[in-house]
Amino acid sequence: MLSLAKPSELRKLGIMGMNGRNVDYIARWNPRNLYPRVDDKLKTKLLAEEAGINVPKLYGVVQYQHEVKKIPEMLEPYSEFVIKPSQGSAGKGILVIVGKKDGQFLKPSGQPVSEKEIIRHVNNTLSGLYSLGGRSDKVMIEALVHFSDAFDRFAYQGVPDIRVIIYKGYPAMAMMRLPTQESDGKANLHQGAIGVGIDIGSGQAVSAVQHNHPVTHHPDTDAVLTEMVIPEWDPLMLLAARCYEVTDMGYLGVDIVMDKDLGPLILELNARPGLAIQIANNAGLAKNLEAIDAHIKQNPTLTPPERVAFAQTSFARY
Amino acid sequence: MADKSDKIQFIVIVSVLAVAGIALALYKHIKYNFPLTPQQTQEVWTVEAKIQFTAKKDVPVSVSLAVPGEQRTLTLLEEDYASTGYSFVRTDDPSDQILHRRVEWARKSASGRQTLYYRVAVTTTSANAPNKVKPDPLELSAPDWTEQQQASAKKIFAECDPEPTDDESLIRQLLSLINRESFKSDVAMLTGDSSTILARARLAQQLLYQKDVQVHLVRGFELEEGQSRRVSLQTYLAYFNEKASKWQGFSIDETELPIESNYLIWQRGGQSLLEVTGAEDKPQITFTSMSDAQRAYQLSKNIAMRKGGWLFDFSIYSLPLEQQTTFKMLFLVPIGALIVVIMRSVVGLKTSGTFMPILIAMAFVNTRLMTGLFLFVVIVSAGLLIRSYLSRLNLLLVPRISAVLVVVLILMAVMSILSHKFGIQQGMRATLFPMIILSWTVERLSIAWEEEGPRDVLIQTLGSLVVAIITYGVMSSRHVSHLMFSFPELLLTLLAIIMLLGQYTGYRLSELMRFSSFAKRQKEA
Repeated sequence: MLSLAKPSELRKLGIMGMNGRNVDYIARWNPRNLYPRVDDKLKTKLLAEEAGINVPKLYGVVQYQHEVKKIPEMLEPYSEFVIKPSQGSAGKGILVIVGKKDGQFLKPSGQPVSEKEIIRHVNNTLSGLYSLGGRSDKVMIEALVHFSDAFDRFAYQGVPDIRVIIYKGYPAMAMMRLPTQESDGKANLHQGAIGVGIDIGSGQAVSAVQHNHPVTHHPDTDAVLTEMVIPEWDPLMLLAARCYEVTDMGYLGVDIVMDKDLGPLILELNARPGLAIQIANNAGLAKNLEAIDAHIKQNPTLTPPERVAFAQTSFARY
Repeated sequence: MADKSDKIQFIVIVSVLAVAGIALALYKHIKYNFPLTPQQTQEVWTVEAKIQFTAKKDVPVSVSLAVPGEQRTLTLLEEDYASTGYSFVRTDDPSDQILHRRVEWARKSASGRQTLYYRVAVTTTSANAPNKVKPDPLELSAPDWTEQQQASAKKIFAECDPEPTDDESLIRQLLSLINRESFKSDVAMLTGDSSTILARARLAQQLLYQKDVQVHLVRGFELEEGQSRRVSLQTYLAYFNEKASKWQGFSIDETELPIESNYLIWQRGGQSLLEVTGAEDKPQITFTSMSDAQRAYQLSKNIAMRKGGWLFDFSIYSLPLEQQTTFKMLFLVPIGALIVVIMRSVVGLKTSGTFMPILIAMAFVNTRLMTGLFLFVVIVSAGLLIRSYLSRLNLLLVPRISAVLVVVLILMAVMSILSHKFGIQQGMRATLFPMIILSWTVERLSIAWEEEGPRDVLIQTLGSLVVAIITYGVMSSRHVSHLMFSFPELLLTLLAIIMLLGQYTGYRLSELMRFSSFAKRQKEA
């Protein structure tokens, strides 16, 4: 049977709906003209680097067809790197190179890739094969992230990432996305990845869902999900909070990965973060946003560390 | 809605739009009788006056005919005064073009039998309140009677009740006296030996005027529904009963005429009905009337256009018919948009593209629903299959989509030919419009396939189809299309509703479902 929640009940729980998000938060706090700052990954990266925010290091950019010739020269110093379209979506067009052997490049699977193939990939990307709506695109070549092994028990194949909702510079809610066999190693909740709600205060897992239903164990690795604790949580929170100054967007989704050596790195920003984070956290987002609004009224000009401190004490669940 | 003044502004704009739309529509409905439903029909009468006479040789001929003027309960739709060989002369005296209208024809020379026609189409309209109209001053000039005539009039007055209870009884008395056998010679004296009804009616009017009772001389007939029939003009006296605030009719033969709403007053006042110069014999005039039911909407439109007014001068009806037909379809698009908005913001259905469902619905209107659905499923799945193959070949987006378009066209051609060969007649009405929409749909879905994966494509496609079918249902409703085309001002109201929905921040139906187990868990905890 179809079961429906009562709107009044959801409101009491502080659940934010799509319309509420669109009208009260996105339309109101994310000005249209700022969207390129988050939709164009190259722009995001440059802005972040300028502000001293940790991102995977940018090795080079190819913007025009005639620059393709310079690629061999550009790649010369590096034995591992990632080639990605600046406006790609859902991980399309990302080429990961983990080594060099006999003048050929190696994919993570060990499959060799020739320089010619790399140039063809770049050409395709430039002409918009991987970008939204087929627009011509730029190609970014950046450092390979050495993913932290802290989550090895909790992820199947792919790379887990951490999504933090930053509201007017305050961390409002966080979630980790764990790839599963079903999601084909992708950290996409729609495709069956697990969403794990993370306590803003401590970085410890709170609860987890897959396909909107609560789960306690990872279906592939059998790890108990609530045992997960994210290392370097406080610097991670601060890093996420500082993205507000970079973008000026009031309602922002920040995607973070953990590098073994460099710690948390900003991977992407999102101007329309989804609502599944509420289910993963088993809590409503609107409550936290209202608390942040009330706090700003009292303290209009706070530094990122002060904002994080407020959020970590107010929203802590352990 | 950041601050309060913005919010107030928004509410004001929305309410002004909503009220303006509904008020304009109601105004048209009440004032001009625009029907709210498509089926309504209304009786329209065509009355024809046929004038016949034999013309004198080589003499200019002119014909003047009294024709219906403004009526209280009837509206004149159109007139036709074409008569071969005659030029139509508009009477120049505009002061009398409302109540006492005449038309005139002229011809330099004519010979033999002449036939002229005057046709007028009328329909009933919501009656204006009856109001008193002063009789024509010409009718009421004090009669220029000889002494003998004055004596006759006195004789008749002597028989009258000196203190009648009211005007009506006086009218009745006088009429019966005029008709009385014993007064025959006096009446003949007063009318100058004319015993026509018109002459006696004029006499009654004059006598009544001397007693300070004003009556109109009116000629006309009652319009009856049905086939063409001969009608003859009745002459009667119309009296405005101020106490009852209504018009009463008195026939010369003393019967009282109820003045019904379908009574056509052909002529007011005592002038001649027909004047012909240059005729050899006495001109004959005959009247025929016939009625038929016409679409009420068409009628109201014609009346409104005739009566004019700013509302119609710059309205959609001033466009050529062909463009009006286009707008008939276009005016339905906002309805589709409203449905899409409701489905997305309130229900929470996912559709691919905001307006694709509307376009699919319009394609369905073109092809009929079942055919359209069949076409949609076959062509979209085939298109997606081909697309996925082309995608493997690493084609660029634009050539890829163009290739899909070509394939879709081939598919439609094949289906049209097959259905024709198998004798499924209404089968594939492959027209340009659905063809473009289907190709575009394939493109949209292809992109979605790459960006969001097959699962999302399936959900979006089903969502789009559901919305398209609902939209199709609404769009193909005769009531809705009638309302939107007859009352385009409702677009303002629609705009207000859509703007309001744009401010809807409540939960979507789909979210109530999505969060239902969540809410349950919270309750248990």
